[in-house]
Amino acid sequence: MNEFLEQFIIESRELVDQATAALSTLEAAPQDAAAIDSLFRSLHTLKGGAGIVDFMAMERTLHATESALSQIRSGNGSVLARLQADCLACLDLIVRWLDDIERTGELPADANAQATSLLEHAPVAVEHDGGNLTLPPAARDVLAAQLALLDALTAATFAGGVVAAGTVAANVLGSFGQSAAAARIPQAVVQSLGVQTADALNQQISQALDDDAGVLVPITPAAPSHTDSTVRTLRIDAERIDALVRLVGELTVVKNAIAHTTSLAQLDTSAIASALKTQHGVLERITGELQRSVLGMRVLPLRAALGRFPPTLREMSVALGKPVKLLIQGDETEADKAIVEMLFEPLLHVIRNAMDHGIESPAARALAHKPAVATLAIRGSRQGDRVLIEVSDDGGGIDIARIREVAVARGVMSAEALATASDADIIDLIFTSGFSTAATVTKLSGRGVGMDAVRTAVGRMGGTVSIDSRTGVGTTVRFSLPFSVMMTHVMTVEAGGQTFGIPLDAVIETIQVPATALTGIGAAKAIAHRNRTLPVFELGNLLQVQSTPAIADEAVIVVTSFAGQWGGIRVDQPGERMEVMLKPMEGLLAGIPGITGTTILGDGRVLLVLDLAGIL
Amino acid sequence: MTPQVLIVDDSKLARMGVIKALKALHPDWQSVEAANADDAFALVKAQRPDFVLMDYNMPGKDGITLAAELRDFDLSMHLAVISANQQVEVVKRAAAAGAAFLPKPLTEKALADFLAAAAQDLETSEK
Repeated sequence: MNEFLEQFIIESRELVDQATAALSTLEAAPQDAAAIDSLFRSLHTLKGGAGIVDFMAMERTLHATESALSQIRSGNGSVLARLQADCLACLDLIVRWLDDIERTGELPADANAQATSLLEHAPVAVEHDGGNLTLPPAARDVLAAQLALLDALTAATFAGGVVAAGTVAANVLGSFGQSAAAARIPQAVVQSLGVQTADALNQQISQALDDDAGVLVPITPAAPSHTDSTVRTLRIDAERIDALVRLVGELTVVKNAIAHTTSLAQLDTSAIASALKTQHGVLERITGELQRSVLGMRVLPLRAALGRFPPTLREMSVALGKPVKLLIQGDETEADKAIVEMLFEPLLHVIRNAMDHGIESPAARALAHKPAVATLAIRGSRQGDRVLIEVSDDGGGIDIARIREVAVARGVMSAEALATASDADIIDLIFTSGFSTAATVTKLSGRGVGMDAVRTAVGRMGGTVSIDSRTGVGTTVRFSLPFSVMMTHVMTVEAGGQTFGIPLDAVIETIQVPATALTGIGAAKAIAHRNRTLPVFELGNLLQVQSTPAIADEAVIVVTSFAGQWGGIRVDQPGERMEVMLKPMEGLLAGIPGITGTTILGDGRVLLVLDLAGIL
Repeated sequence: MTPQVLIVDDSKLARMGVIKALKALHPDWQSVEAANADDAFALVKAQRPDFVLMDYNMPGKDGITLAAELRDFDLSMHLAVISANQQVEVVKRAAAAGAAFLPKPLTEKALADFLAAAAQDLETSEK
């Protein structure tokens, strides 16, 4: 074996040990700068060494690993956990190659195929366009050679030469993470063949070389604006996508395993059942996780929109000289991301209005015997198929007289209409385009472009907004939005041989009592429970199905509370708790009272989830 | 006096690669090696090589920092930074430190070009 390979093996083994040690340190301390540095240095030097001995497969593998790991530099610990396994797999493969070389004195023959196989299972895409990893000189030489080839084409060799050059160029670019450049090659090949000159392909290869040489144009995607009228894009934590990609990969593996198992069906049936069962179990787990991942991507707690308000409100409070405290309740309520993200601007506007117009100056408040510090409360809750958000202040309420004045002055409403309009109608005028009663346009509001935009934005989401006001007491702005894609915790129960779902947030507990504990109060039934009298309803009766209690002489009662009222629902049998994606009823069925929505159970059955307000 | 080349790289394998290229071009030239910037500086003071080829990516002081220090020490030395990282940024910084930039792994051609350019400098300065 030549001395280069000998030295290569010695150094590479040391570097692999260093990299492994660094990974181990990072597992416990993902921010450890020294470990991150050591890891990258080791991989980089390993790659360099591979270049010196012309071990292209190892260069490829390390390049891809370096790309994938570049995220670690930001100290993102959870990213590391997933990539660590792949990095170790890469190092493992390298050690095997080193052993091979030591044994045979030559570079392993099937290294390239092994590298390809390893890279295909990497969960994080190898593509890292515009990153700080460039084509190794060997790759650049190959690309340059293709350019030379293209220059030397004759009429006879044209077609074959173009295709060959294109194939090599695409492979090289793809292997070293320049996926966008690689993707442009096939098109260029077609173009070149079409017009019978190699210019298109020549240009793409040259450009790839140029881009690589450092003419980097950073592309920063524009952050989607909150006022984006059609929310067509979602800002999703990259980790959630990564989790999804990984799950899909695992799913593919299981799918293949099951295909294999079913192919054995022709041979021997006895072992099949158990093998199939095992694989199916795995499949279940993965698809369950996959479903959770996908759904998790689209749902956010209201907190995501509300979180920014405390500091904003503080600024406003200082700027206006009006002390105010912010109360937030129910910010854990979840809703579709689109809705949560849309809510930010309208809520901000409402808050501005409250600060500017609703809440009085400290002097005025003192005169009115109100606490010096005003209160602004934001409450989120889910009720049936809607998400409700209320913004209320304890200010002076809406000046209805003033609105009438402005309405007349601006010709928004005729005098006769105004005379017969109720206070609520008048208040609703606020939502008219261009309406503003502010005498002065302040820095914060008064430009009159607000509430109509709020109503439009909310309406686009299938929601409504309304204002409630009491003069001298305060104003409440109510948003009602559909939950459309929202996760709900439900509890299943059986009644009359059918299964139904009850939203878990309405359920206090489930109790089992002797049937005799139920006492009659007139036609209704009740039970004494924890010092209260609970009215008890038979679910079977409510839904008009025949009840068949599972255990005779025992009553299973689900204790519920909603809208401040406690009640009990007697069911045949309690079921399990599950988190489901509730789909609202549509079309003809939308009008059915008592049903919040439906979901599909694991066995394919449709579960009707009850709306307690509708049935009780 | 036969020219002397100092090769600085923490990887012995990489140093072997550079020496191999050098021997192919100028078998009679002398070469000395250092594994880090500090050793390199000590060798420069002791032996005053004509050329210094240093790896960019070294633990401790990196090649570009070393190049700047060597430039301050002795303007007549011909310096080159070797690196796999060919970004415009790196090349510029090398130039700012008064060093040429050679891509890694070092090819005979790249080394030949560098030495030829340095020789021309030598000639023009001596005129």
